[in-house]
Amino acid sequence: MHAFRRIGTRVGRLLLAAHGWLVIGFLLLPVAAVVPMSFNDLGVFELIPTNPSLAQYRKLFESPDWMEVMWRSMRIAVLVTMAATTLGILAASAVARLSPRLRAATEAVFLAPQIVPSVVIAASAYFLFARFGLVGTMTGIVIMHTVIAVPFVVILMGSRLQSLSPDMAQASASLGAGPLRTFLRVIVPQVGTAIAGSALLAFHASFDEVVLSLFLSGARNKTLPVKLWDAILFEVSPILPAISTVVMLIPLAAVLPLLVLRARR
Amino acid sequence: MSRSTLNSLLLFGLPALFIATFFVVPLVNSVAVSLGVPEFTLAAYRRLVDVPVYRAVYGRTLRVALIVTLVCVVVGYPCAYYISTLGRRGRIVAIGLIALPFMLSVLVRNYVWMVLLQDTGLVNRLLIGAGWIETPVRLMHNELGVLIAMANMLLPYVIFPVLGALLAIPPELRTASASLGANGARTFWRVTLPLTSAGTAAGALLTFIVGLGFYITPAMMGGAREMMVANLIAFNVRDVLNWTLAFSLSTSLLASTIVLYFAYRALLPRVATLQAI
Repeated sequence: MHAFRRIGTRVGRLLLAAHGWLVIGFLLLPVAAVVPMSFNDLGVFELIPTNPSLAQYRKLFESPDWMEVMWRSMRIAVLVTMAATTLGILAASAVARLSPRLRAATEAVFLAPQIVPSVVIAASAYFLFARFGLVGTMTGIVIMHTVIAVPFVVILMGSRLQSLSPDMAQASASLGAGPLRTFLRVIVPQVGTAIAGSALLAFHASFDEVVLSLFLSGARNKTLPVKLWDAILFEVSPILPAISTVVMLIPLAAVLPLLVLRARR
Repeated sequence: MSRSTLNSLLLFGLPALFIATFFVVPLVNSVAVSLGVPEFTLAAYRRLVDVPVYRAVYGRTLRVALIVTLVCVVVGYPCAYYISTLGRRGRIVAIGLIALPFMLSVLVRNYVWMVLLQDTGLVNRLLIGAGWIETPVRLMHNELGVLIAMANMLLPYVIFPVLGALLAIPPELRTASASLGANGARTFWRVTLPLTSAGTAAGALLTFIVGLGFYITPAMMGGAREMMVANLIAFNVRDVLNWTLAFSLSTSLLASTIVLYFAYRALLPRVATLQAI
């Protein structure tokens, strides 16, 4: 009887482990599938290429259309990263000073752009932007990408700033440093990693953003995801996996200098 | 006013002004347009209820979000449970692997599912190769395809909070339950499950909220008839320029999101938080 129960438990554990790894495998499937697909030879399209080649990558980097939208998306994402990180850090440090009750309420406002469906945000922004001539401009896209990138910064910086002891800042102030100096010389060095992380998330939020860009980019200022959207829906091309892989790597590459800079200090 | 309060206000002013101008004002304006301001009329909303096509879209959106949520809880809970039994290093690897797809573009993730699930895709070829089916099964351009891709994107929203709740249970509780004579199953039903119910509910609510607003997946994986509310909004804005209808739809989506989000926030204090991974 006892032995039976033990065997039962062991089978149960094995089933549980199998289920756990199956689910993780299911979650990883898109990542695992897209990279090998990107090494397809020209013309043919296989899930696991028999003749792996860099042909698709060459085609991508030689295509002026794709390079144009890629550069545009990068420029937008860099601007968004700067704007969202600045605004988010300001918001998070103000929120950190509030009383707990006020804190929850104001935090909810700054986090709202992440909860409200992007179609709702896009439609309402499109209506007003159309009146002010902002549809189809880079400015319009940068502004709205910043709106949805700010929550990432507020979440990350908020939790980091709250764990910070106020003593150092007080010491700095009592030694005669102004708020800006205190912020740059005392706070920033302590929260550098969180700032780098926020920057990565903000960059990624903009670089990968589809719905707002679909509404706001117009025909002239298509971003990379908008062109990707068109390509996926209207032309099935073997170049797509290569672009996808590059899209996955760019946000990582953008943050690498930040991390290196930090490691050197 | 003390200097630090003034500082806070100045710090606060810029981001608050930005979010108010470009997020709050457009949303408030869209609600106003849907109500026909300056007059006040609920005509647009009445149409949403009266026209069968719109009712069908709402029904489908609720059904899809609900099914995805259920699937994610049923599949995600045991996965989180397994991860909670791993050692520290295994747990970190598993968490990293689950978070990894977030780096992959949403579009690309949908695209891969299109490639895998189409009639000549990998899944159909494997099934035919194994001799289980003779002609390809329709796995996309229908609700099934939407559900598979959505579950793939939403599972982490359940796994992470459940895992947090599981890890917050003091291990002594299970030992105590066992030493009082409860077997594994009894300990699970009487100790583990009740202690993780708030975390599971929070994860399920979040999944449902996010699921309601899905736009890209139904557009790519669904057929022309699998429109969800978000797609109907986009259609009315971009293709037919019917603003009152678009904004009555978006207001209803906004309102349900806000209500559900408050329910989620109310649950949070009861969710045991993850102390250490």
